[in-house]
Amino acid sequence: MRANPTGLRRRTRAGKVSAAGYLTALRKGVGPLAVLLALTFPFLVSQYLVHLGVLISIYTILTLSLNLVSGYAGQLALGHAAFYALGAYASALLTLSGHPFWLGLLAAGVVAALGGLVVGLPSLKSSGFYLGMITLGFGEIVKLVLLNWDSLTRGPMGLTNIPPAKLWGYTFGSVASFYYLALLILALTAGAVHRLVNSRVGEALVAIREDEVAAKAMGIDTGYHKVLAFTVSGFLAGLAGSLYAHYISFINPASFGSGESFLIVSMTLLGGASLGGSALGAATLLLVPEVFRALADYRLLFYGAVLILLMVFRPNGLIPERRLRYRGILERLRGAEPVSGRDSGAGPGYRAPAEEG
Amino acid sequence: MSLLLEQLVNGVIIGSVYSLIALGFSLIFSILEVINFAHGSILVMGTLIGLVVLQRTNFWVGLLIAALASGLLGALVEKAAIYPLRLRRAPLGAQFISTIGAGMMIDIAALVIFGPKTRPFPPSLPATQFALGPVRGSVVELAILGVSLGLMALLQVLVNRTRFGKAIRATVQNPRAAAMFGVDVDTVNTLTFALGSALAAVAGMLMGVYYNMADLGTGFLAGMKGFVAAVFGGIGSIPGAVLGGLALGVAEDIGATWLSSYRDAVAFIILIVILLVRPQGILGHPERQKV
Repeated sequence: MRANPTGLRRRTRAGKVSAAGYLTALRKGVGPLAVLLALTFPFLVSQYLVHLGVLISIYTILTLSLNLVSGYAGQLALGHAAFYALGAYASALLTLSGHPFWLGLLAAGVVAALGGLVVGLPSLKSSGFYLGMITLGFGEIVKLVLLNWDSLTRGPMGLTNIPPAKLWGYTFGSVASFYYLALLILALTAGAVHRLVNSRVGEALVAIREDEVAAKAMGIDTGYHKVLAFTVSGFLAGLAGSLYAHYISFINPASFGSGESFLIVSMTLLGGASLGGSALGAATLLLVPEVFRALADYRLLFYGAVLILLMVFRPNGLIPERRLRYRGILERLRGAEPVSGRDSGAGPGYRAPAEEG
Repeated sequence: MSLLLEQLVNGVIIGSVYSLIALGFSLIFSILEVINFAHGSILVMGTLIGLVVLQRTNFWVGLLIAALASGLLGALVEKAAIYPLRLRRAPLGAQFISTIGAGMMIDIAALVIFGPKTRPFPPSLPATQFALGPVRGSVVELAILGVSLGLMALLQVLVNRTRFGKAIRATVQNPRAAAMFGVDVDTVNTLTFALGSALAAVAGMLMGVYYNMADLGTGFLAGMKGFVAAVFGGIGSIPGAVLGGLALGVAEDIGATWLSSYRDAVAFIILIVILLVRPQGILGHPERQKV
């Protein structure tokens, strides 16, 4: 659907409000409604649904953070669970040794940001699926280290009895109170991501996604921006990891495998690069298996099918980023057909590696 | 010294299996320019089907059925998860993600059909040991080496000496021109995908008799190692895939002596280093980024 630039209801010749007009109006109402719903959620529904709300908040943070790297900067990253794991372990280990929660949360972000920095460095030399595979390899290495560093992480047994989150003397012990904590962190994350992608840095990231060589030619320090995106993304995913650890109070390496990374990738792709999209992607993929209980064992079957169908019909996600909407116009202006039968990755999202010479 | 030799031999044997997986990756990549993430999943599915057949007949029939079943499955993946995207000229990244989706679905299908437990491989080849100079070997190891080297030679002949091979090479060079000269590019795509998948299943069966077991978890790692081997040697190149597989096998075996519990990490470390230092691999050509 094309955007309606005037924001007015578009009327058809017969004077009726077109479907597009309704959709625009609907979209404007959705944001405030969603915020209201999110705030009053624990008073309206059962504890179990609030629990799902906590998970959705955590995964929306993860999805938002991956969006920075994949959605905006266009770098394929398949090891996001590694940052999530680093954050969870950093925070759990610190609080287990008696340090306060706020320090754990902060450390989770910093440790995961360092991880992001390390993963971001290969993006200087590599892109497309190669980078995807490197990040996947990094994720597996982190998992192997967590499994084998017995003296610190207690290996496959995992860490148990992680203390609940505690801020200014208040313990977030109940599900509902933790829900508000998760929502607060989510709001801060969303605010930070919103500021970032609408800043000069955000423009640079989008430019890198659209055409890295052209971005470089325009004077954008592509390497710096890519590494920055990975670092910030790592920081945010680390926060989500800390939240998860203190909410569930038990973590082990099995919770942070490649399946988890693919789940986050699926959520990101489903929603598209936007706040609404991230929340929608996370909520859909978490809720659908809950609604269809019989499906629970076949979750991956469902995720797999969703991925394929998405790539066929809506490769930019359900709620793509605003800047993508101008693409249609640009492509019509350019009017050029790809040279060979195979498309040279001219589409949005991930850049393909250049053809071999 | 004899330990090193032993490791070298072991490395070459498991490496020849990695080479087969890498060949499948490379074949598919050279023709479709997409990395088939479902490769490992197809490998496991083929291996488990082959194992069931093997239990009722013998190893060689199991191997054949595994290859056929995987070939069919590969063709199905190409038709369901890649072809519709190519029709719509979807970017290559989207095609890659689509194969991830296909892999997830195959994994779950295998889980539902065969259950989560690790399956033992019955002893299906004679367990005779023999000594060749300072090296001790077994019939199993000989069979693994023989089958992989034989298939590599066969593949070389297929690509360079047959009509189908000519069609493959033409499609790799320029699909549109190939189509103009009467090559049915869609069929070549599907058949190449099937061929690569069949090679993966053969590799899976060989790993099964080598380790005496098969389980669902091996697919992901086997697929990753095959990919690492393909990248190591230079993706898209047949000799590169063979060389990369052998090198990875040896590196892993030697690396395991120092980092025993991190054996599987060796492949990932190699991957990261090679992509940073020499992204085109040992035998690949450097790629240029075009505007």
